[in-house]
Amino acid sequence: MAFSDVREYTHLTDEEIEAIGRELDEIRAEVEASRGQADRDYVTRIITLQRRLAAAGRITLFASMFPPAWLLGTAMLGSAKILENMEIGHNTMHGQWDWMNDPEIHSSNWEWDTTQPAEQWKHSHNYIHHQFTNVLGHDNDVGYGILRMSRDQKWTPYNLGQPVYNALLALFFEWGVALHDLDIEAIRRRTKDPKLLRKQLKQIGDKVGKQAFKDYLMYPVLSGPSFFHTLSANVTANLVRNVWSYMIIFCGHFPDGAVHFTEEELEDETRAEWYLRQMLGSANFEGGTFLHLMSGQLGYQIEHHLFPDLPSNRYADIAVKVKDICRRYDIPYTTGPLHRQYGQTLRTIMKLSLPNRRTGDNPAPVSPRETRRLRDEERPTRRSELGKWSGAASA
Amino acid sequence: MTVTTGPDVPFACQDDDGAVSPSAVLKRRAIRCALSRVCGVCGETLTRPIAFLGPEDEALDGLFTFPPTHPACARQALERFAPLGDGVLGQRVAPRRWALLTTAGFDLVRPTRRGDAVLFRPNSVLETTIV
Repeated sequence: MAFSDVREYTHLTDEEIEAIGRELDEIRAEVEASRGQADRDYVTRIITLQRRLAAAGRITLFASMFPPAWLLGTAMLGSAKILENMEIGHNTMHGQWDWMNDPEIHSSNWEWDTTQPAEQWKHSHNYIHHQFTNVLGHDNDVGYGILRMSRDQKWTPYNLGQPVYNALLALFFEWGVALHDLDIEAIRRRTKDPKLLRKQLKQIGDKVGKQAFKDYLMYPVLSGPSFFHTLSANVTANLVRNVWSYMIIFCGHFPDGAVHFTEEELEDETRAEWYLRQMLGSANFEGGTFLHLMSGQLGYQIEHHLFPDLPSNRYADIAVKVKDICRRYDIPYTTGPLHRQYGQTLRTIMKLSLPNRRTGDNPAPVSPRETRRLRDEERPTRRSELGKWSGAASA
Repeated sequence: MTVTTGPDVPFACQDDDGAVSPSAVLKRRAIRCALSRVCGVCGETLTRPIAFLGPEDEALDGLFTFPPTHPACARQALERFAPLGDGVLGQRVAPRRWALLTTAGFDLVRPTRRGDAVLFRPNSVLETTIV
């Protein structure tokens, strides 16, 4: 549905929307004014912990022919990869730590431990997903181009296989993310600029080569007689990281209550309207400090979408204030235990594998002008521009 | 002034359909530069430190109209475009003096009113040079 039709939003007056915007601005200003040494200590401590875990895991796996060493090494390596991707890499590439002027912990320098090149992630995630959050036809994260995640998306017989595609996406999430910025639809339609495609594929190929060399050749070889055990441990660590990342990311926008939007005046929305769209389109999950750490603080997805470039260690405090704003203005604040949020997401994936008429909760009929599903030819094409590349390719 | 062709127009002043407007920063490009963290002049990934260029007043206010750039791109853009006068680098009227500022980070400031431009606030200024 279009933003102006969202029930959770329409009771607000223009003045109230502006007031919400001002309150959120104040939260942002408070954090900006107070970020300092404690935040710096936090991120350096997490990076040290992650590197020690990775090193301990790699060393332990030298003895991976012994099952306890395999298990322990895999667990440490998998945890290190999760920490690096979720709490460190993702947040650093948002520019959350740029203010420190650290030569390494900076959005322009960080290259993370996964197959997608950082540069392509900064486009597909930071720009496409965060700017066009949950807007069908714009936000490629809505089902990753593989799954039907909204009743407003057209059903085709292909969707019957969603349970299988979903399982495969979870297992091989790293690879799905690696190809995320290619715009598979454009490739399928043969409208993708071949020069641009080659450039992107080369970048992905280089990154995949480095990752594969490190995990599937160098460390297994260094393990000597434990070669195959270390290889299987590294494969397992990557799979564990894939499934975990997939689950956390899918819980951010697909549990019940997170709203999907259709076409609207995205570029001309005010800051307050942008804030509201981010709040309504995101969902949190509850948990302890450890769960939030291993999730890159994405259990605070609402706060992350409101302030993607504020330090992640502040989201817990920000959440208290945001929740209070939502309560006072009667705006939904979607949250729940992780198992419930993921259960709802999984149910949506299963239900939407069937056509709308086969599922029971069709929305009450309303004026067709207000919420009719647009025909495919009326929809915008997916966001496909790619920084300099698209410009260079079209020149 | 909006023209449809032109050499060496900064990335932030070109639209996706090829239209260029040297005197204005295109909002969609500005947002893209900020979030994808690409240079407003060349469109490539930003490096550290990040540079901002604009009228001296913008540097004093700490709010820039032109998106972040590479320091080298900012210097080259000033050399190339500033002597042309009005209607360059997103400025309708040529500033009396240009400023080049370097910073480690910045914040994207979205407009509070429809139609207004997005702005950029350097948050850890390293050096400011008045040209």
